[in-house]
Amino acid sequence: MLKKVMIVVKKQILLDETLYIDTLDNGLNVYLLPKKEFVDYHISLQVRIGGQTTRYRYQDQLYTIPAGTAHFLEHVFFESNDINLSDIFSEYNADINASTSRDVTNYYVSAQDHFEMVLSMFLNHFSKAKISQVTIEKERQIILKEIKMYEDNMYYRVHEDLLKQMYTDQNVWVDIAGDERSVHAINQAIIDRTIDHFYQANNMILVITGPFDPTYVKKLVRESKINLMPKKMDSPQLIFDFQGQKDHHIYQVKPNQSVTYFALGLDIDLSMLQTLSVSQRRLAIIMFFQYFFDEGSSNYQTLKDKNLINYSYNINIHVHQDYAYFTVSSETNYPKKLKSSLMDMLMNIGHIDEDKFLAGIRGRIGHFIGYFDQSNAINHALSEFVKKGYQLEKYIDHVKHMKAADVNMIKKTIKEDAIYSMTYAKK
Amino acid sequence: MKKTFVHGIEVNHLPSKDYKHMMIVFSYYSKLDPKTYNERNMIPTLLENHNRIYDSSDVLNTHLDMLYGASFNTSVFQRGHLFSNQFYLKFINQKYIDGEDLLSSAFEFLYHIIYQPKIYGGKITKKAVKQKISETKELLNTLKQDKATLAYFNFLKHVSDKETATFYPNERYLDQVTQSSLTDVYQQMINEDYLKIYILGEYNVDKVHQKIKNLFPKKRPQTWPNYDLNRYMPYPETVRDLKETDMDVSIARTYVGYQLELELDDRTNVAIDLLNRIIGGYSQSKLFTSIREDLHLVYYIYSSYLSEINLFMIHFESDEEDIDTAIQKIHETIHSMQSGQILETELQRAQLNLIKNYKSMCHHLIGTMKLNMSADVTMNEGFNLEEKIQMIMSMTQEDLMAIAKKMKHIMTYRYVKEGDDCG
Repeated sequence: MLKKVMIVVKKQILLDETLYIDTLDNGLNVYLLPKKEFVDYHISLQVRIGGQTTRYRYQDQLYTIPAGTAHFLEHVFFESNDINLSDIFSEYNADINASTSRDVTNYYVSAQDHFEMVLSMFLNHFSKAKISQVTIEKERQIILKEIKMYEDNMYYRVHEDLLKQMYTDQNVWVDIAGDERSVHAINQAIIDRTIDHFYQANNMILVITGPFDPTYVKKLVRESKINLMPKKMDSPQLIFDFQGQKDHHIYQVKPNQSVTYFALGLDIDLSMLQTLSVSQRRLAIIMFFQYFFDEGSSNYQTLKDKNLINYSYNINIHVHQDYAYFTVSSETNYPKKLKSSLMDMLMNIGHIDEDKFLAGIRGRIGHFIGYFDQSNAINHALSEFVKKGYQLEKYIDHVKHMKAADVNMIKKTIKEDAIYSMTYAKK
Repeated sequence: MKKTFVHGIEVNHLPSKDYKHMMIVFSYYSKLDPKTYNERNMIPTLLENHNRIYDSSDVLNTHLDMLYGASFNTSVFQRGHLFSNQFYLKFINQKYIDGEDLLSSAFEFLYHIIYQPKIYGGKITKKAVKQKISETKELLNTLKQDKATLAYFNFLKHVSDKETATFYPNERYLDQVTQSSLTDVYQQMINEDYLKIYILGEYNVDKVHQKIKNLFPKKRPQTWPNYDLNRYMPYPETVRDLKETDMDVSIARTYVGYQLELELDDRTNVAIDLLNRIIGGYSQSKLFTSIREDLHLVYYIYSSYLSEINLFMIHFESDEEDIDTAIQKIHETIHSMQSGQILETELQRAQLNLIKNYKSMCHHLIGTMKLNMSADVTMNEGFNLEEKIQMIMSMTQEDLMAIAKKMKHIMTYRYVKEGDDCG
C-alpha cells in the first residue's frame, strides 16, 4: 500500500510559477514544475558523475577509473537490461537523449502523449542496470569516432591546452569522452562498479516539467521502481589536486593554422570568498567577470578599438564547488599586446558604475523569467540551478539585493601568479 | 494571425497570453540578388555595431539590460527568389513590470537600430564598411580552423553555381562590396523593400498602431512582391564525385547531395519533411539505424532538406575506409524507397514525430513566430496547426515514394586526411 501522498515542499518561484519538491526515502530529490499551458512533458534525470570523475573516494576506499567512463555509461545506459529504451520510446512518440558534462550525466525524455507510461518506464529503467558486452563493444566503436570529430576544432584544443597549464589535475581538463587509450581501457567490471557507486538515488536529481498535476506525478514517481532503489549512506567524493604548471605563458607556432588564437585563463582563489554562501559566491563571480569582460563591457570596447580582438572574442566563467576559473580568448594579430592588455585589465580592475550594474541586475532577472517560457528550457534551467545549489525561490531576491560592493569582493581573488595564457600562432 | 495596415505598413498580430516574454519583428522583403547577397547579409550587424544612438557595444548592451534582459537578434530568410532581412526583439511581458512602457521602448529600440546608422556625407561611414569587409575576410580564415564547418562550406560552394550562389560569405562578389554598394543596399532595404511587422504577446492593438504611426509618420507605399518561391539555384549538370584533402583532420567528412526538381507547395513540403525523417532526419531513421546502430560506422548520420536552395543532403563523419560502405548503403536506401519500400509503420512514426514537432513549436515563443512568418510569406495567412496535422496524416506511402522518385543524386563530397588515400 502506498503511504498517504502529500506534496512535501511547495515553493513560489514567480507569481504564477510554483515548484514542488519531494524527497524519496532513498534520498532521490524530485522537482516538479507544472506548466499547464504547454503540451510537452520533459523529464530529466541527472546523475552526479561527469567528465571530471576519474579519481574518487567511496566508503573509505580510493578508486581510479579511465577518463571518459561517465560518457561511456551515458552511451550504453539506454540499452541496459536487454532492452533498447530508445526503440521502445519511439513507439510512444517520445524522444530520449543524454549528455555528459564535466560534473554530471543528464538523461532526458520529451513526450506529449502516454506521459504516465513513459515516465514509469524511464524511472524503472534506472532502478537497476545490466549492460551487455555486445552493447559495450558496439558503443566503444561509436565513441572512438565521436572523439575524433572534436579533435578537428582548434578552439577546443587551445582551451584544453590552457587548462592543462592551469591545473595539473586531469579531472579539470581531460576530454569528457576520454581518449582512445582510456576508452579501450573501459570494461564490463569498471562499468558495473561505477554504476554501483554513482547510479544511486541519493546521487541523482529528477526534474519533471509539463502540463501535469504535481500530486499525481509525485504518486507516479513513488510507485515506480526508482523508489525501490536502496538507500545508501555514502556518496562518492571526488579528489582534486589544484596545482598549476610552472610555465604560465605558452607560445606555440602552428604551421597549418590560418589564424593566431590567444586564450588567457585565471584560476580564481575561492578561499578568499568564504564569507559568501555557495550561491552568492557563484553569482558574484559571474556578475563580476561579465561586468568587466563581456561584450557589453568597456574593456571589450577598448580591446576592439585597439584592434586586438575580433568577433571570435569569447569569455567563459566556470564555478565549480572546489575550483573556479575565468577564460577569455580571441583570434588576434597581436597576441603579445592582447596578453599584456588583458593582464593589465585584470590587475587594475576599475570601479563598478552603479547604473550599469543596476542594468545588469535587471537583465539577469529578465533572463531568469524567460526560462519559464518553454517547458524544455525551464527543465534544463531547473536541473542546472539545483545542481549549482541555488534556491530558486530566492534567486530573484538574491539578484535584486546583490550590491556592487559584494561583486567587487571578487577583485581580491585575482592574483598575477594565477594567470596563464596559451597562444597558437600561425606561421 | 490578424493583419492590419498602418501608414501602408503591414502589421501582423499574434495575440498570446502563453508567454512571459513578447516579441516584435521587423522583416524587410526583397528580390534575391546574388550580386548584393553579401551586402544584404552584412547590413544587420553593421547597423547593430555602427549606430548613432547606441554608439558602442557597452551602451547597446546596457540598454538591452535596462529592458530587463531584452534580446536582439537578426537573421536572413530566403525562399526561391524571395529574400528577407529580419530584426527580432524579445522582451519581457509588460505585465511583470510596473510603471515602465516597455512596448514603446522595444519599438523605439528596433527603429533606432534600423533607421539611425552612422552616416557621413550621405553614406554609411568608411570605418563601418572597412570593419565589416575585414570581419568577413577574417571569417573565411576562421572557417579553416573548424574542419566540420569548413567541409560543409566547401560542399555548399561545390554544389552551387558560382554566379548564383546564395550563401554567406559569397567569395565571388566579396571584392565588389564598397561603401557605395552597402549604402545603396541599405537605402533599398529601408525605402523600397516590403516591410512587415510581426508582434506576438499580450498588448493593446491601438497602442501598437499609434506607436507605429509615430515612428513612421509618412505613408510607406508598398506592394507585396509576388516572387517565385520555387527553386532559384541551378544544379550542376553532371554528377560530381569530389574529394579534398587536409593535413590537419582526424576524421573524414562526407556530404551526399540530391536535387529535388519539384514545384514546392505546402503539401509537397510536408511530404519532403516526412521523407527526410524516414531517411535520416531522426534517431529512428533508416540511415541512423543501419549505418550507426547496425554497422557502427559513424557517431551520427543525418539527412536534411535545405529549403533555401532545394537541396536534399546527407552527412556523416567516419573513418575514410568506411566511406564507400556508407555511401553504398545510402544509395541502396534511397533506391529502395524509390521503388516503394516505405513501411506503413515508418510513415506513421514519422507522422507522429512531425506532429509532435509542430505542436512543440506552437508552444514556443520563437517557434510560434517563425511558423507564422513562414506561413504568411508562402500562403498569406497565419499558421494553422489543425490543418497542418490533417495534411500530415493524409500523406500516404505513395505520396512519399513519388517525392523519393524525384531525388536525383548530384554530388558526393569527401573531406579527408591528406595522405590517407585508401585507393
